[in-house]
Amino acid sequence: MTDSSRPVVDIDALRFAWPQHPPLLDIAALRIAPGEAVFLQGASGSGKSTLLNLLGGVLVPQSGRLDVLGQSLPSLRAAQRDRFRADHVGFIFQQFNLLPYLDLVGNVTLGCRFSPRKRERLGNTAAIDADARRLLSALGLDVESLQQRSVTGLSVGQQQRVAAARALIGAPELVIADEPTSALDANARAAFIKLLFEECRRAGSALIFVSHDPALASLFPRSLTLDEINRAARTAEAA
Amino acid sequence: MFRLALKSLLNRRGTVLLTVFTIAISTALLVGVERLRGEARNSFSSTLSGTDLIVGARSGAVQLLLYSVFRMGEPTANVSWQTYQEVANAPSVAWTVPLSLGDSHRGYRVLGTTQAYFEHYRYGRRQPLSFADGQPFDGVYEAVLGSEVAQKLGYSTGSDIVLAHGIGRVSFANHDDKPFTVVGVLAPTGTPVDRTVHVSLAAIEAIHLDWQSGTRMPGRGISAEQALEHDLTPKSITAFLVGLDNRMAAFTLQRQVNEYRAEPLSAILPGVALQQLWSLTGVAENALRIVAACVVVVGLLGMLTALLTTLNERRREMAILRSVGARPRTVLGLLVLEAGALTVAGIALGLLLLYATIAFTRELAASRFGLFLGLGAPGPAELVALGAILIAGLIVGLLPAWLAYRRSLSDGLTIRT
Repeated sequence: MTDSSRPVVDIDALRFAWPQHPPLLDIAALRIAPGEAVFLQGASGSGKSTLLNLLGGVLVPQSGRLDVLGQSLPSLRAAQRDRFRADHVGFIFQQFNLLPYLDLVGNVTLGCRFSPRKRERLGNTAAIDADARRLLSALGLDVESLQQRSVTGLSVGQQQRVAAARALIGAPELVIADEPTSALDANARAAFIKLLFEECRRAGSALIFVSHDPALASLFPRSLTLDEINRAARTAEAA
Repeated sequence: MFRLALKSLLNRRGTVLLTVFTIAISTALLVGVERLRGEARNSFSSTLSGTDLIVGARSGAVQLLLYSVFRMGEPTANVSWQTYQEVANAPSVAWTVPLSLGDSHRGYRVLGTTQAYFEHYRYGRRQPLSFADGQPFDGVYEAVLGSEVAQKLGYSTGSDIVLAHGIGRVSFANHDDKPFTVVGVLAPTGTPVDRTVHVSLAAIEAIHLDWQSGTRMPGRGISAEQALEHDLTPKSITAFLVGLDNRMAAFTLQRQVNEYRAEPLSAILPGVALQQLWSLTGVAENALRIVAACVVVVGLLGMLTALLTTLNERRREMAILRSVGARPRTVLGLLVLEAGALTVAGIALGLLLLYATIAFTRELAASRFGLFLGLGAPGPAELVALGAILIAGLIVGLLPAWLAYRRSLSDGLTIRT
């Protein structure tokens, strides 16, 4: 159902508005190639979250094309979109990414419960756990000593790396990071992004990194601002 | 998914424990009331069996049943000995057991009867009375004790006891001139028989020879030996039990007794009278049940509050679950599962509490109230109550689950804190 030569994200004339509200998003075109790392800058309230919800298949646009991995998301039913997200998209949030009642490895493998494709790809529970440990180690976490502790005791930087491991497990084609570094200090920020790049490259995942901070753009091979691609923002400003 | 719900619950064990405890207490109360009700009915129903009719002076069926069999309340009037003989000799009658009440021994009622009592009285599933020690009375000044009387007052065969006039716990008028010897102690039955002192009808007559209108006549002291020379045939008895050759004859005999001309009598079918008693106590029972059900509702509302207050803190949890591919329906299921797990845990703990309470208090309940509370598995009525609690718990759980479902639809992957 997916094709490696196709763009990971292919948006064409996408329009989205909340009911009884003016259009929030109006994107003429946005293409992201497989394995590409893209920085997307946008201020809060610019429709950033909405775009991520669209890419994740939680929301559907009123019109236009929204293909992820060649699959038209609006043509899928809600449950199919949830399943598609579980199988092909990894998310990293700003902070508080972890479920306090699961341990380190449990938090990383959480998504595999909802994705038959990831389970199939990784094998049995032991293999899934092993891959989680491999990812955590690759992201610089000492699994053996941290596994025994509650995840709420981890530092913010450690928590974000656990979240990255969760997004990357099972090698989804697309990783979406929503302000993952805003709670980190400058040094940790650069180190985190570097690790994220490496692991995305290893997994072959495309990365969409969203932030309000334009200073980070220089770290990425390609950077966009939401205001550039979103015609609705310009119309709103003009009005 | 169940493990997720469970882990999430364990993470909030403080509130969860309190919630479970509230549900547990309300469950214990509801099932406890149900059990108490069942056992009370049971102990009443099993007190008398195999008797087709009870005959006494004209009164309400429930009243006659209560004073003749359960030793509760007082008889209104007596039945003359002649009338008793006539009914006893009716062709369809197989046996009769006369009952004469009115005296007591240290709070326990004294029952004057005949040896037919030990032969024909049946309780529970038609079990006859059996002797733990000794034998039925034979002589006038001989008594047979119920098991509790013997145990509580420390009597055994050979002990001497003095009966008191009247049925108060403390009596100032004692038949101390005519002491009785205990010749037998009955095995426990779990019925009022255990709390009864049995003597012969002749004994009742003998101790009242020198009494008139409830007081001893001064100067007319008749000694125990002298009394034996009098005619000790009773002039009247309180009531009598009737066994028939053919149960079908019960209605005919009942009508004949009720229409008896010489004396106003009542004949009752024990089962029918018991039903009348249930319809009387039913109101109180239902009131108890309603109160217990209200407590369950309060318990479940406590759970609802606990679930709703955590819902806000858990928006993040729901968004994370959604981001890894959980469907809104999964979020819904997770919360209903949670409510279900809380309710089940509450029910389990409640039953544990109830059984522990019964185990600790059954001695007291048996000795003080004559209630024999069983530790058996929940009966049908109790299972219905438990099922109702579980279903109510799930329904209550639907509200926060539905709210979380709606929120996870609108929040999507956006973490709002």
